[in-house]
Amino acid sequence: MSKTKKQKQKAQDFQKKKLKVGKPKAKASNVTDTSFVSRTISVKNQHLGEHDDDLTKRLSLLKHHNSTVRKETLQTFQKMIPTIINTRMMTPLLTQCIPLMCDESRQVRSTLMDLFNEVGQHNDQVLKLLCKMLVLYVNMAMTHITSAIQADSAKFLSCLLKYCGDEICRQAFVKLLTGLFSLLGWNQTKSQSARKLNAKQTAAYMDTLYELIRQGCQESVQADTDTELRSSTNQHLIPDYPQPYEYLKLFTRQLQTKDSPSTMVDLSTQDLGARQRVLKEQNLPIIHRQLDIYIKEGGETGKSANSLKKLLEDLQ
Amino acid sequence: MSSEILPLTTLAKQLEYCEGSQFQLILKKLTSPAYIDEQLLKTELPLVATKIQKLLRSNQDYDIWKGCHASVVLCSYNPLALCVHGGQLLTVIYSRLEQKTEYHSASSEAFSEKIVLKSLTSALSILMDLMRGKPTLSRESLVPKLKAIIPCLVDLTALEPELCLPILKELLLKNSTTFRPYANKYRQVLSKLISQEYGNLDPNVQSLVCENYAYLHLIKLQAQNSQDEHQAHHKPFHDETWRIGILSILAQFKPILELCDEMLDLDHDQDLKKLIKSLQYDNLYPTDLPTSDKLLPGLKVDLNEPMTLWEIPQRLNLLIDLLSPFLSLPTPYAVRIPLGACISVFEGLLGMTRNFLPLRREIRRDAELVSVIYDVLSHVQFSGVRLLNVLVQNFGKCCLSMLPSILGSLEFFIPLQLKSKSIDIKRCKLMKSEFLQYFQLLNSIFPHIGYQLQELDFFQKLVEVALALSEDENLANLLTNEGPAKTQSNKAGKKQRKDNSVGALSDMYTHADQFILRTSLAWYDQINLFLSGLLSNLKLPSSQQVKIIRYGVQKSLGWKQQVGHIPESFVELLRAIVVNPGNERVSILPIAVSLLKGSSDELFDLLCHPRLPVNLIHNVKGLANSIEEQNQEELLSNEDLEEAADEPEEEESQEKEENVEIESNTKRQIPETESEPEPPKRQRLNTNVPLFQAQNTEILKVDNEPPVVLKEEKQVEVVQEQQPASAQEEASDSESEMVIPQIQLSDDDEE
Repeated sequence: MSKTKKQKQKAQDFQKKKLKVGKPKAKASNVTDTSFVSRTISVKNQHLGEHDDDLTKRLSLLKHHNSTVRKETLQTFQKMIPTIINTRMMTPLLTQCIPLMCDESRQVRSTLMDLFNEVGQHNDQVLKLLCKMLVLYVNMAMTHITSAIQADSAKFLSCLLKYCGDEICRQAFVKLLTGLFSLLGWNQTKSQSARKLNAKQTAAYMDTLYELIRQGCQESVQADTDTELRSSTNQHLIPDYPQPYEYLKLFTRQLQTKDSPSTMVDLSTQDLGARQRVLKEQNLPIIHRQLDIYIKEGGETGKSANSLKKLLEDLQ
Repeated sequence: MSSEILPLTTLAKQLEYCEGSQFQLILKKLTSPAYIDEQLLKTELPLVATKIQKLLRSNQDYDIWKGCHASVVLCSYNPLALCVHGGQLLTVIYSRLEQKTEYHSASSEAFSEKIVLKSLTSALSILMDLMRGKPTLSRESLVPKLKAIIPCLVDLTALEPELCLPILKELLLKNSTTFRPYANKYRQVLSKLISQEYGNLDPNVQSLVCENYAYLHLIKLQAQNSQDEHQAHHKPFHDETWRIGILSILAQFKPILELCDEMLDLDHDQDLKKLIKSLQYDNLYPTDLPTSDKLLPGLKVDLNEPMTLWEIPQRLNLLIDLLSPFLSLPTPYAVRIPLGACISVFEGLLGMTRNFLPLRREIRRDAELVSVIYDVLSHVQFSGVRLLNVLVQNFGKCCLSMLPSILGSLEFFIPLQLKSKSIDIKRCKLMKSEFLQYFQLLNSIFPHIGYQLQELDFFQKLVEVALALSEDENLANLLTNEGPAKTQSNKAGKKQRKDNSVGALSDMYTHADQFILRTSLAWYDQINLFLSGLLSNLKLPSSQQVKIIRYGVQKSLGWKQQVGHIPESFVELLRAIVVNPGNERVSILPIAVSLLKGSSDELFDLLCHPRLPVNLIHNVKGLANSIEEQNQEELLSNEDLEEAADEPEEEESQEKEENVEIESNTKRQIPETESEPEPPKRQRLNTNVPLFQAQNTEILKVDNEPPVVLKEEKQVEVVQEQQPASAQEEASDSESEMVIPQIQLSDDDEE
């Protein structure tokens, strides 16, 4: 049979087309043109290379997806601390840095610790100003799912206790105490299973606990010049630390829940007596019980437990 | 000037016919001292007295009323009339009163009759008061008539207690001997009022009844049986009857507390049981006397009818009302009050708490009974609070020896939640008016306590209660959880018959602030006084301190915004908070100052701008002058400075004339010495004498060496340190200055 029009057209598709001289090869009908034209718009104030000194631009790098970039940014900031310590840069810097306490990368966390140390050495008032946020994130780290972050939280806490221990103890003594207990597995509720910790971690946690209790419950012996002592204890002078009336919570409305016992919600640990009482009434029996176990085991944990026990005996 | 005064005869005539404001004018005229004239005694004054008596004898109520007022005014302002005619007027008045009493009955009382009775009794009382202090007048005119007046008043008391009780109270106190024959009858009248009609009376009348009952005990009760022969030789105390009265009331508390044993299981508290057993006082007086335990009927209480339980607190309140006058009224002789017994009764009453004592097993099932019992027990405790209030107000410091047990008992008054140590704030809010008196009691105890208290738990609880009860209560909030669900379910099921009942509910959600029960200023005053006292005497833990600070600041700000100024009690509280910051690192001085801006407060002004008391400053120098002088001194040698110690007073006065002076008396009293005048040199300050006292040159002469030694050291310091001359350092470094230097304020202080 003779071929139909359709069949002829189909056959035509499979015929090889003759190449013509001087003309390029014919393009297939389904060819896609992938060529492109690129142009640049030069906006002067966005050039990274020209404004290396401006640190505000680097703040956003702290949230970079690459942990190396974050780490390097932190190191850069750490180098710049001596120059910017008294500028307005510090608050936004620290506000962006503090959430990195819960960062996944260990290196970022350790760099952050170095940064805090640097800041603390130059001016501890900066850390005191942001105590609330620091405590919040330390707590977050203490209750993090990742155990590495949990482990580092105690290091952060001991670093902070070095520089602004008084302030932290006044604001959040009970919270931190509870957090450390949960890290150590000394919880009051038996629902949480006791996690097995290695000796090193336990010792580190106990040292942090020691420091916290020492800062919070031991009366500070100020053996410095008498005049300084007098001026620092006169309550009618202008205070030399930031946000002196923040603890009054005059501008916050406290939510009242029916379930929470009023004593703990309203408890203010601003004064030494209250902290000592909280320690004695609620936590001492647990501590003593656990300490005895560790002392018997000996080793590093035993040493830390021993020193903690001595401190508690001194307090009583 | 008798020609310028209106003659009394005219006034007398006008008295009869005048009405309204004219009567007022005549009375005003009668007060004139011009009528105190012996010449008028024979002619005009008797006329006036006769007219008044005619008015009093008239049948018209209005005339009697006029007569009463006219007699009172005449006798009050005219001693001649009082002395001569007072007796007659008194006779007419009380005879009229007798007549009115005979025909008086409670059911048929015209308004004018009441007014007449009132004016007759008040006139009687005033005339008696006027006559009382004067020996001849009272002997001749008053006392003989009392024998008729007293029974008349006693009869009227049963019908109009409010009018007669004040008069009889005075008579009992001042004329108890004359009253004696009528004492028994009066006792019967009072007993009837107390036992049967007490609840219907006004609070004022109730207290009058109790006071009269107490004053009846100024008259000795005699036992019908003869006294014990062995004791007959002892002279009885004056206050024997008074004491018997107190003991008889105290003896009635025990049976009522034993009644409470039926409700609470007192076996759990053996101490309380022992205490209640010890409240036995009826063995201390003869039993046949007409004491108060015989006048009150027994209580009829039925546990099957819970509302009858309310008779218990009612009876207790009555007993406290009866006891209070015994403890507080003035007496003509000293009385012995069994304070220990009263405190024991108080402890027994406060011990009836369900915080630590469970209910009896049999009654726990009945919910209605249980709720009534809880309320009744709170009121039983409250009657103890009232008792202690009376004791502390009258015997404040005498109760101090029993303070620990008192405070322990007071702690029981605060209701706790069942099986827990936390305070039941809802129950406290229901008893807000009782808590007001409770805090008043604490405020009266506080001035006696001082700094000796060590227990903080009780006061921490009190602070929580005080602050919780000081909040405004929004009644609409209590309903918001339940309201919408109910209304919706109604709407879904039925047709909307009436929208009115539902429509009005919307106000509770949209205008919830209209349904707020605001706390009264009286409450705030008591609470602020309590908190100020607490802050001044104790160092509170920071939880309570912070709460008090928040309360003080927020409420003061609220008042300032609403009313424009801060009430006095809040200012006191702010002062107490600033001056006693307790354990806090910093006081709220800046906050308080900004709150009180505009209203100049002395305390805060002193704290912000400390300055010296004006009287002690001898001399004030400008800073520039002081610096120049200091520089000059550094150049002087030690020997020159030794000579300067012997300078005479004249040079001192010369110096002072040059400088700016603030006058003081002590300066002028310094005696002038006779030494030779020397060139003016600076005098040294003696370091042994405090800076701000008069520097006596004689002292300088005596103690010559030590200042010199010190001076050398300090001079060296000045040279080495080269400090800027602040005024105080100047005074210590450069002792050659006589002056008290000025304190330089920095710019910050002056804001």
